[in-house]
Amino acid sequence: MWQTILVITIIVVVLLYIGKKICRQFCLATDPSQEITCDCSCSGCNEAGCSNKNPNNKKDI
Amino acid sequence: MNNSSITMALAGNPNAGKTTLFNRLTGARQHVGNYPGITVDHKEGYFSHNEQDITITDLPGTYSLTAYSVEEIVTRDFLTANKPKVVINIVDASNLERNLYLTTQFLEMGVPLVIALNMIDVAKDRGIEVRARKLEELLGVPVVPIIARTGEGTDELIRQAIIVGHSEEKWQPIDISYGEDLDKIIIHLDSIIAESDFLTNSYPARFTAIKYLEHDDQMLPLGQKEDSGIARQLEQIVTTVSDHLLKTMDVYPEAIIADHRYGFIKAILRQGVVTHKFDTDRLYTSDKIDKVLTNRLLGPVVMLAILFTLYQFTFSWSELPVALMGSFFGWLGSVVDTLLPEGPLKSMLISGVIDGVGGVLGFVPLIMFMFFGIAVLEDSGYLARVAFMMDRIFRIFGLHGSSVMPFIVSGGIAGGCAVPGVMATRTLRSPKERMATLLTVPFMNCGAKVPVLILLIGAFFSDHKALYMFLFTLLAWLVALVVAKLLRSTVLKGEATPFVMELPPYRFPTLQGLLIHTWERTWQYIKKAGTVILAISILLWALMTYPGLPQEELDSFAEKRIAVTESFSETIQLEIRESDNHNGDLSESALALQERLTTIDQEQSGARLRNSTAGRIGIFLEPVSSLAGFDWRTNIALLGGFAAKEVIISTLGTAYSMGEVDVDASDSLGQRLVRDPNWNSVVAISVLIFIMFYAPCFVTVICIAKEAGSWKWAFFSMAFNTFFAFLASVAVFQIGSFV
Amino acid sequence: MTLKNLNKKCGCFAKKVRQCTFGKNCPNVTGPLSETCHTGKVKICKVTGDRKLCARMASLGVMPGQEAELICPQNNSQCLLKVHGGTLSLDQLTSSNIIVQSV
Repeated sequence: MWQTILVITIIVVVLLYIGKKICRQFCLATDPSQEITCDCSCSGCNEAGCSNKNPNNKKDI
Repeated sequence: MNNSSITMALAGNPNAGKTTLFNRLTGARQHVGNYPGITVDHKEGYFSHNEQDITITDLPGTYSLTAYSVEEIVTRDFLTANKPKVVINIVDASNLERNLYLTTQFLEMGVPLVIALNMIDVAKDRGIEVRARKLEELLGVPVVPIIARTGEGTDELIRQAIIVGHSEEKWQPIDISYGEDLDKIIIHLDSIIAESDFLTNSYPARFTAIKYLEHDDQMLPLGQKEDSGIARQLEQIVTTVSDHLLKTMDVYPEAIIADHRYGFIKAILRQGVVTHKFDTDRLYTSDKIDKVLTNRLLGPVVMLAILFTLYQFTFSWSELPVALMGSFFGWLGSVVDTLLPEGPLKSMLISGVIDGVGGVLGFVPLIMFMFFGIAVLEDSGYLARVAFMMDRIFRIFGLHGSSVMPFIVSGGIAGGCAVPGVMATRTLRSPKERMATLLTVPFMNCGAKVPVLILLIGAFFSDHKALYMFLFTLLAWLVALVVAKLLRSTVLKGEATPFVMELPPYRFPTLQGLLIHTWERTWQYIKKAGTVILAISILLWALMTYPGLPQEELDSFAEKRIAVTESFSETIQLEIRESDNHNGDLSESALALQERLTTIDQEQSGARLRNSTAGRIGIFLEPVSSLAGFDWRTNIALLGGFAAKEVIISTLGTAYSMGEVDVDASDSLGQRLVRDPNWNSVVAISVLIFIMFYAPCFVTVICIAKEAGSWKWAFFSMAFNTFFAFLASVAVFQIGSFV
Repeated sequence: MTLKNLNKKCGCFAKKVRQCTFGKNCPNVTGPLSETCHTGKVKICKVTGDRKLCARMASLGVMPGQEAELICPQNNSQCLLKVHGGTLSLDQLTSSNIIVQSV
């Protein structure tokens, strides 16, 4: 029984994850300002070098 | 964002080292290849220097600021729209004359400039000594010698850039003389522009005047939009001048302008900025190598030999590590099998996760060797020569020389990715040539297809793995080019456009650089396998597991088991129960019983897979797919491959492991396929051809829609590729079976 | 195919090979870059073709009066030209529009 509950939980998490990924791809297709190679979401990018500005993303030299 | 943040832009010629410097400053891990056109769009990064926040933009490589190519338009638009506080112009110290051409235009535009004199080490090796101070004095902007690859001088560069960024001076354009006659015209145009405030918000008046004389493709419509009356007046003056020059000197004004710019640069360099230890006319080693490696006859032979050696090296060196990885995942499967009690979680972990993702991760060593080889070709500058040599062939098939790089990036040497390949088509200006490239780059063998190719080649043609891999790579090129020709002769008919590319000099790759590039790409592969592929594998496992068998069927299998067991004596039954599945100690009769029980178990898992959602879809497609020799399990894998091509291998792993119950005794996926009655070498080739050419993965399709500006082409790509791949597979299977 | 024809064909091919690999025996004439069959220095006499091509070539330093070095001559095909310190790869369409003279 516990195995079934765990498996169902994992599948739900996986579905949410894949759903988010698909949503992101469509966001990228509709918003050309975002870079498809970067880890961006509809609300912004999180990688240095990506289009959407994110002040959290910096590095000291 | 911090208000005191300074905005900087990195600009320069292709291959001057912008992206290397950008990565060094921001820590971004975007790959830098030694060929032009890697940065099509501008990229932004953030870092701080002595508590000063800095936003830096990596602009595409350009030779000028006149709108000849998309890179030049992107650069100029960025400078006028964003007005960065400082522009860092990276120039290659070993090739100053060409690089300073762009600098003169920045100076004419008046942007706050700092010059980063990059690759001073290379210049020194070539016997070129550059006096940065003198250059600084003559140009009137800070010049900082740096080596972007090692980071030498970058601190000083940023310090100077911050000083320039903080100075509140307005953009100060400088004037270059274009000869008495043109100067008079420029002054005249300048006065008209300045008086009417024509485009002065974006450009200095003199800059606009020069661009009008250069017949700039972007400036003329912009002017029409701003004030058509003034624009007409300017155009009229410029046309009169152009006609006169053409009649008297047989040149257009832009040629005279370029000539004077080069004259200006030469005048500066001759004032003691550059001294050559060796004869300036001598050919460098790079040019000498080119005489052989790009030779019309020798070049292609050497190219094919290099590619074949790459495959040979990849396969021979990775054989042992791949086998070790396979054994590791096999061991992991048996550990999970021993530790967990029977149930859905165990099935998911073994069949979904270990057999699925393990199948993909098992190829990591091979992928790593392949990426290492490609990194050597890229970083040495040889890949640009491949593009040069392929240009001639591309012409025949109606493609442009700029199409070669997207093909290579997509996996022309196997191991790339169609997504950056599709994006790299932005460098093509002719819409029809671009569309033809866009639609054919997914035919290349991307990094995700490679493991499938290796698996099937390894299983069915194990004696000549490298040769077959090489042949399948050539086949991918051939099909892509033939399809391109087909498109260019039908729906995308049009004239060919000229192609000019600057070849970077050969450079000896650094081991550190090679290892970084190899690791970056391998890490991307591992990351994808551990995230997206893992998620899809679990989902496909669920689709291959549920709904389970109805109770009646389960009961019927249970009854079968009881009947078989009861047909043997009590002693044998007891022996089986006590042996705990260890075949070694069993008597002959006990072994026979165990074999019959295993057969029933296999029948049951086969029936369960057939009854599952994915199984039903696979079976539904089987009447059609069987024409190409694909059974229903392969259909499931091919459907999954639309999500990501790596899924094909993970799904095959899951589908073929769910059919077999005993994990301990199970072989590698390749061996299972060889044993399967539905598979043989003809089916393997048919499947390989289908996988190579059918619909691109989901992300590529979206990318095609984005780049083509319409979903119509994305759907066309999916439908056309699948139809074509299926026809090819059917032909191979039917002919192969007949023979 | 007669022996004579075969000889003719082979002779032609051999000539092509010689031109491709060595190609030193060309007359010192003015003509399109695409038809220049020897490596070495050339002087650019004229850049023809459409205005945009001329302008682009000029910005890359390929303009009348400029000396350049032909690294890899490819008869009626693309070629490598060293000019202003950079190595340019020019396709057939472009190189046929550049009129040069051997120096």
